[in-house]
Amino acid sequence: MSASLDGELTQKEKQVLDTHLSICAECACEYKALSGLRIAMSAWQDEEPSEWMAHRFAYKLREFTSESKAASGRKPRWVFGRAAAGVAAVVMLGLFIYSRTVELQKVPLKILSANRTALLTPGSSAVGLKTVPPTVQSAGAPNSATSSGAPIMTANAKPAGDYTPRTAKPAYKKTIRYAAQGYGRNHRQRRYSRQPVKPVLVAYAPRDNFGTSDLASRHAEQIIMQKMDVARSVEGETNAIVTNHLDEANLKMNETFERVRGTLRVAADLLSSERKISNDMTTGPNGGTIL
Amino acid sequence: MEELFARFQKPLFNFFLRMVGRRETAEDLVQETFIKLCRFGNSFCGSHARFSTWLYSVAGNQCRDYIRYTSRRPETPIADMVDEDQAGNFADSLYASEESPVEDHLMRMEVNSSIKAAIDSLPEKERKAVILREYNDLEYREIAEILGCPIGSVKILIFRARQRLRERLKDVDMSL
Repeated sequence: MSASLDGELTQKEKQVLDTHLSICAECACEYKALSGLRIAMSAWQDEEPSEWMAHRFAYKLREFTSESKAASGRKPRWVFGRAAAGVAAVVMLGLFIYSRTVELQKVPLKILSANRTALLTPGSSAVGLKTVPPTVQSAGAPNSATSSGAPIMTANAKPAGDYTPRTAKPAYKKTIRYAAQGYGRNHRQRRYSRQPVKPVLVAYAPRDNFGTSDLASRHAEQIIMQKMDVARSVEGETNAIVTNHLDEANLKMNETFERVRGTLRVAADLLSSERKISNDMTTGPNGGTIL
Repeated sequence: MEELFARFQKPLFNFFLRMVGRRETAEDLVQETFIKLCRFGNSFCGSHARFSTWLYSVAGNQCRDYIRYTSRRPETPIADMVDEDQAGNFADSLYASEESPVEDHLMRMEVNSSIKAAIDSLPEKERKAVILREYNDLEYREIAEILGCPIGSVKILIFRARQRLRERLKDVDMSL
């Protein structure tokens, strides 16, 4: 029936439908109701768009055409240049980050304090352990490491030959190297004697860069996360407040509309009743005109 | 492009107006549809479909995207408020019209708003199908191309939409 109203049926189908409608009262009633609905829906007439729409579209079209002209006029060779510059920048950044990452440095046994020896225990955060030719251990020095199962390394292990480092960092490096190779601090001894040294394990301790530590960076991260949580909660509260205000405004607006509609209905009723009264006055009770 | 805009702006505007319900949004959607036409007009192949069918399918996609966008971000329409100038013009038109009495005018407005509310309550696909059929006078075949479904589905969509509308509008006096 719906397709018949829209003219979408073939001749044969229309005949079948007409035959059925002539027999079935219920379907005929339904068909009448559908056609009445179509007539009622046609009461909603088309509206005219605003005059500014054409002007706004002309402006947007001009913008669009100018953008497309600019895009087509670009020289393609600069695209490659820019891409190459971007790749080079990424590579440089990667090298910079790599150079700033944690570096491993060998630390001699002698300078290991009580705290740092904790690095040598299993499960510690030591970066790695490496065996080097051992140094001569002083007689009678307790090998605490072996008794506790830790790697063979004690603070009492002495390199070959007595030596004392002159300066802190560079001297430690040299000392370890010489100790590993069995050389003393006295360079002249290197040519003439090479004493065997016992292998010792040395610990690698991370070198601090610019005085920063993991602890400080973790603390900074925690502060940042706290501030972000505070900002998120403030944003949520603000959104809730704005939503509440908008809901209240919507309710008030609806109430105002209802009041206006009611007033208009009352006005319409008054007008119609006034017209009726004036008509009655001019025509009179018997139907004749008074004036 | 200007000729196409002049020819199709009113039917497209009314299509969007009936789908989304707001004039400003309907105007924006019309402009965006034509901008898309400028951008992707090369993809139209005249041998398979009419231009109006292709244009309405682009418009239908715009409509669907807008409805999905607003369903995720509900808005409170402030611009729909009737300002003082419009209220004054409306009051003047009530007195100035001699052909249509005030009661008839108000009744017509009431019927229009009821029809609008009933159409707004339909599901999106049924609403699109019935608007394209009733107000844009498109054939079932064209509506099937626009909606991307078979002709049989279009018949069922329109039939169900009309059933729902009849149910909703049975209490409204359609004698006008």
